[in-house]
Amino acid sequence: MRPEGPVRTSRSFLTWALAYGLGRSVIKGAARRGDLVGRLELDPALREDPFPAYEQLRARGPISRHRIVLATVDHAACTEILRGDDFGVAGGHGELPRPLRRLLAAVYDDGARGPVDPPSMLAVDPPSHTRYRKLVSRAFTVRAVKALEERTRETAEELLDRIASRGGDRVDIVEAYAAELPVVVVAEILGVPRTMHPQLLEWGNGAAVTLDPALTWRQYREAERNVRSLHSWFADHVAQLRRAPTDDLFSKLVHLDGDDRLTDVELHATGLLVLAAGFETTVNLIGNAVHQLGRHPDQLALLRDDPSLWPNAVEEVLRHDSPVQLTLRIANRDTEVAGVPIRRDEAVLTLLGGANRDPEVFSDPHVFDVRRENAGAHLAFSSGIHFCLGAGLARMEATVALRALYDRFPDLTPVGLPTRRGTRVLRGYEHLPVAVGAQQRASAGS
Amino acid sequence: MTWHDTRVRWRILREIEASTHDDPTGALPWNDEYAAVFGDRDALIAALRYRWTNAQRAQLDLFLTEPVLDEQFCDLRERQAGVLRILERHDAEKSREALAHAS
Repeated sequence: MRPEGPVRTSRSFLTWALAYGLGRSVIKGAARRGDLVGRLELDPALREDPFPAYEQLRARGPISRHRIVLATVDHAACTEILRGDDFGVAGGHGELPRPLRRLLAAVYDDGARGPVDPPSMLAVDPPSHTRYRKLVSRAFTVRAVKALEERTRETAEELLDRIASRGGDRVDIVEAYAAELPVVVVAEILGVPRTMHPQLLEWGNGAAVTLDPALTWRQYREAERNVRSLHSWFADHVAQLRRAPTDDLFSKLVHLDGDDRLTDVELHATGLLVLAAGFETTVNLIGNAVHQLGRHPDQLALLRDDPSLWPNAVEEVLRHDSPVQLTLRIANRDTEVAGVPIRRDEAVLTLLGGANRDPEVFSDPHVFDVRRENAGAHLAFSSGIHFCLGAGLARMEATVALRALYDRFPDLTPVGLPTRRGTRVLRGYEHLPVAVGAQQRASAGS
Repeated sequence: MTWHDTRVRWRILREIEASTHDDPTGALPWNDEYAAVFGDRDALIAALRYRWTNAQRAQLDLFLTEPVLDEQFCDLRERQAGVLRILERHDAEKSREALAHAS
């Protein structure tokens, strides 16, 4: 690879400073002064267990004012903010004052735009978002997800065969299973050849850390290298697909034409988002489910007795231990939510993980209950125009993965202390050691 | 509560921290002395939780750099691994009771 010149390094540094560095120092300062929202970002004890802090926020009212932003764990307020057109995502960096946002937009390097940088769907507001989402959602249909189900099941069985054949009772279920399964699904969507999977996993994991808002310069540089490699790969891949279309979803996006045509920058942004979202959220959903079911063997027994409960169990994991804990919105104009006035350009942190434990909506909200009737009323996939496009896919993957896992290893139990990932926006495990247990049923295919 | 009582409580909490460190079950140790000092299991659980919360507050200084802070937290969790399993098992049992009560 060509060595980087000083211009590119300076541009990268400025991008990092605006997108992450500035926010980091503000968060640090606030946390050190005892600000609860700042501590949620910095304090490792609150990363491990943010729920008591969410209850402190709830006690302060539907929306509370903090040093950095406003924050809410109120389900109704979160829903109103996420659904209403009084709020937007402001280029993914609404925490910045307008002039700095404009400066950031000017310094972005197309070859280094990450999965949460514009024109990623996460970072644009209508009307751009409306057009973009309409086109991409054509590919993410119920039928398309259904078509991926069989491939997901086969992959799950292959991974479980590998676990069964490696010998020994203990395995890190995140590394051996939860992290591996989404790679294949994402690769199917993007049309990545099998030989590229390990490389894709490496680049994708490297790039996905940009979803967290407080990267150090060193972390950003590392992530940027992976993002650049992915852009370079996508450039070749898109060119190849233009010459020879394939059956995958990404190829369909490449071949949209006329007014619907997506630019290369938009195609790359979509690909990066599919990678980041596919890698970073489904792995957490599966890992969090294994941890919860290990803590609650009575709930696992219910699922064994009645496997039709699995989809609801997945909803309950999404509610109780949401893989995405928060998202930020900016007021487009002076407004009022839950009786609290919010001025134009003020940022509101919607703490989805806290809203999903709102006692006004969920009875005994801290109890994990796979039979909970309204488990699906959670906001784990956000709400409104930014509702997760991959929600159906994530639900399918998690349901298939968990059913296959516990069918094969009914006595699987977490052992030892799991290690959480260092991320704050995303909640999941880096390592989750389990004992798979002696009783193994034959796999469906054998 | 006298200083003597306080010292006995602390000794018991340290004793539990050490004796349960390698116990994967999360079972709460219980004997006549513990019953005499804490009254019931729930009170002992509350004391263990209070100690864990205090340890985090005292030792996780947000003026430390993030890598040091993370390392400090890992060390703390490792030292109190047995206590954390006890608290986790207790919370799961309470959750089961709440479900049984609701149904």
